[in-house]
Amino acid sequence: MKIVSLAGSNRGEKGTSASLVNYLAQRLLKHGVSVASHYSIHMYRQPHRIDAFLNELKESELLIISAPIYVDLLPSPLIHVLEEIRDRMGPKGLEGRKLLAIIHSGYPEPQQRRPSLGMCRCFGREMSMEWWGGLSFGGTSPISGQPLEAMGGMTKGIRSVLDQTAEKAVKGGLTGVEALVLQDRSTIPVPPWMVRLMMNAMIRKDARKGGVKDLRARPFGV
Amino acid sequence: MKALVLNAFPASEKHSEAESILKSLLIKKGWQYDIYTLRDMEIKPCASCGNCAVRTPGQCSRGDGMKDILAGWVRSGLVIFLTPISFGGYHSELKKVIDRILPLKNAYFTVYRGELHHENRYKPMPSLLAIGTLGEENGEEREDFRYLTERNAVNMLIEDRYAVAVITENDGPADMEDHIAKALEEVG
Ligand SMILES: Cc1cc2nc3c(=O)[nH]c(=O)nc-3n(C[C@H](O)[C@H](O)[C@H](O)COP(=O)(O)O)c2cc1C
Repeated sequence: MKIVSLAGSNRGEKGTSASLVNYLAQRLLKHGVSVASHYSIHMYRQPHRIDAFLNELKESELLIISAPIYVDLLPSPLIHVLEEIRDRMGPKGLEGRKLLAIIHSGYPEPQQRRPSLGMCRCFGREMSMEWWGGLSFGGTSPISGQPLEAMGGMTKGIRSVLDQTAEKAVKGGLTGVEALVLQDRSTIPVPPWMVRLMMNAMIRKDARKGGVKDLRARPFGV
Repeated sequence: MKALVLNAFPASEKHSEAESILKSLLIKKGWQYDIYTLRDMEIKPCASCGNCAVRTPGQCSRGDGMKDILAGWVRSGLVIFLTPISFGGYHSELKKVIDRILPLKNAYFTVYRGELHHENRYKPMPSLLAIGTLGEENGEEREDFRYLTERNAVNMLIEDRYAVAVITENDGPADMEDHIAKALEEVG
């Protein structure tokens, strides 16, 4: 099986999106399947790179999009690449190829990730692809490009979902998926009010240490 | 009252008259407006550096046209998006601006409607009107677009001060005016 991944973070290889899809790629490799990695931010900055990506995409069976939420939706450079694929390949350009999406965000609630999952599925439909479902992960900011294994117990739930997904993908267990979301996990085990309390105390302390006087400053007046 | 209009239409947009229809409706309602035509602006992608939250609160390290948009945003009563609907969401041209609005938030967390969010740096934040154009009618994309705008309103902590208008292939100028006027009535 030929697989292509597209990581949608503006931080490219240094982002959490890369950590997630790299982990899945390692698992797939254990099953004898390799993944060719691509990054939307590089294609956005150097548009000629899109050509090579499209050529690989044409030859592939599965596209895995791994992307963060930036203000409720996929980052702009990733949307740009999806628009380019549609405009250059046309509505049936990827007919029969499979699409799997890994969508993750800083906040834990699943509804934060729904518009981006919907956007990926809609892209797949427009391209006549087969939807293999979406994985939805919350509380991913601390991962910040590190290998998932290095984060210990915090990423245990996410790793377990990715392990299962790799197995299902190679065994054909993701065919005929109707659901927008296959599985949802958050790394944050405590309620929002407690996160707020803990995070705000930490933010205040860090600001004091860094000599930042007013985190609520309003440079535009008003 | 002032409105900030972000026009993300490409030069080839079939419903480009939506902009002039919007302008005349705004004038009729006594609004002043500033329009930014995004395809003519060089706006860099967010560097995701976090500086605007913790190192230089409220200030983005990237020097480009975003500074004027952000300054206009906080002085407006209404922000209006004009965008082709891409896969049920915003076009990348509009999204490049939205990805850069983090300086309008501060680093502190708040709980809003039971969800975690960041506090607004400026209060009150303007209401939101999203006008999207669709090639052909598509119920799923229409609903996704509406839901995305609702999510933005939650993220911006602006209660229910948002409205959505969707323009489709078969809409002529009179239909467009009707859809935009109705949505404007809801927020303006
Ligand atoms: C510009 C920007 C906007 C963000 N907006 C949201 C948001 O609306 N909701 C959310 O849950 N997380 C939001 N986040 C947090 C990211 O989704 C989170 O940190 C993610 O792990 C980043 O992944 P990456 O390293 O692959 O870019 C935002 C981050 C950035 C940089």
